[in-house]
Amino acid sequence: MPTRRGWSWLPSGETVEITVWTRYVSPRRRLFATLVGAAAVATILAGLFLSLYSAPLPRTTVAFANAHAAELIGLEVRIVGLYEAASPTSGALRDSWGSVDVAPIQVSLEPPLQLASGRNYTLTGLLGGAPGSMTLRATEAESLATATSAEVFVSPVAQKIFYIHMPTAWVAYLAFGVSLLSGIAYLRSQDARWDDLGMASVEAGIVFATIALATGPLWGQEEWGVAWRWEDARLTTTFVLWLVYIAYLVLRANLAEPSVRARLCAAYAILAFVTVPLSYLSALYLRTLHPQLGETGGGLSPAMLVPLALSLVGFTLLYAYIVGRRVETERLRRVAETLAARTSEGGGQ
Amino acid sequence: MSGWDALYLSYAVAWGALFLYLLYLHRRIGKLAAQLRGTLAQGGKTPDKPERS
Repeated sequence: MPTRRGWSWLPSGETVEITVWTRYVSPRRRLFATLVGAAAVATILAGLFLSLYSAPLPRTTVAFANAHAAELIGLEVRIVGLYEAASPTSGALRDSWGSVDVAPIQVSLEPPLQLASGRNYTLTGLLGGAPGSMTLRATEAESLATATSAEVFVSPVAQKIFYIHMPTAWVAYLAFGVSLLSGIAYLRSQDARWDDLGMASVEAGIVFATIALATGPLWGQEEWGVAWRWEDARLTTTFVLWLVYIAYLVLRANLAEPSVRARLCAAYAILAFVTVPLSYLSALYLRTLHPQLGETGGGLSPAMLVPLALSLVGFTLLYAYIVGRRVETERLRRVAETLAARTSEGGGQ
Repeated sequence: MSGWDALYLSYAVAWGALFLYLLYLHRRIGKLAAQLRGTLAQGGKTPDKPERS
């Protein structure tokens, strides 16, 4: 058995693992897995590096008044958002109207603002802290004024969390989608390999969903001034999604009979997938502070899209690598259990 | 907490979670392999290679 030096901090199974991996996984497959893992890490690091040095995200002032002053001046306006501030007239919304600094929370003004005639108004930040648009609705007329900026954030530095948060959330959705397809495939074919893939995908999905759930509040604290709101549909539905898939693992761990376990888990994975569209669409149709990327065409400049694309590709490759390793583990477990059963039954024959 | 603090904490959370999961996977494989070795030491025959998937 080959030995490896310099790995003393690793568990004692290290050399065994190397041996077993070498023995049971073909060289071509090992090389492919290693390349995928290395490419994943390299791509993610490149994306994060570019996000730090390329994406131009200074604190920006969105000047809408110059363009729309004629429509707004003299009208009562209501700023339409997604959240109601605790106190409509307090916080970052100041009444020094030369610079209306709106905190990235919903501001519903009661009574509506009276814009003074002949003045220009600037708005700093965007509702929700999201790239996209802010709409001002005139209450006494049907005119709408829209200020659009793709790159306006209260905390431009914390915005770079986006390049981890969004790709990991995407990979979690992907992973749960794969578990759905694996569940369907298993129920149709009864092939244990689909069960392995489904389980591996759920595990990886939970890891990525955990990262997305942990990094979101860190960003939210900086951008929104609040880390978590239970009344926020996107945040809550994503947390429910996470719990539902944790329950998958609990279910799996408590079923001993392999065929029953595989069948039930496949059915559960199919049913659990309903939480994915629920989480995704909640930002479109329910009450949330969370932005929905894509609803306004993304609103991202190439300087943001390139690091985002790299991160997306990198985290997707990392998902593939993790699932591959996890499926291998399951195959190894089957080999070990089969051998142990054979040995105990037939005295090692 | 500044924006940089939040960003660094996010990096730590992300890489830490991935590292811990891969370590868990690694340990799991190690345990299974040790179990396999133990069975072999008790006289079990070397199992056939699993069929290619």
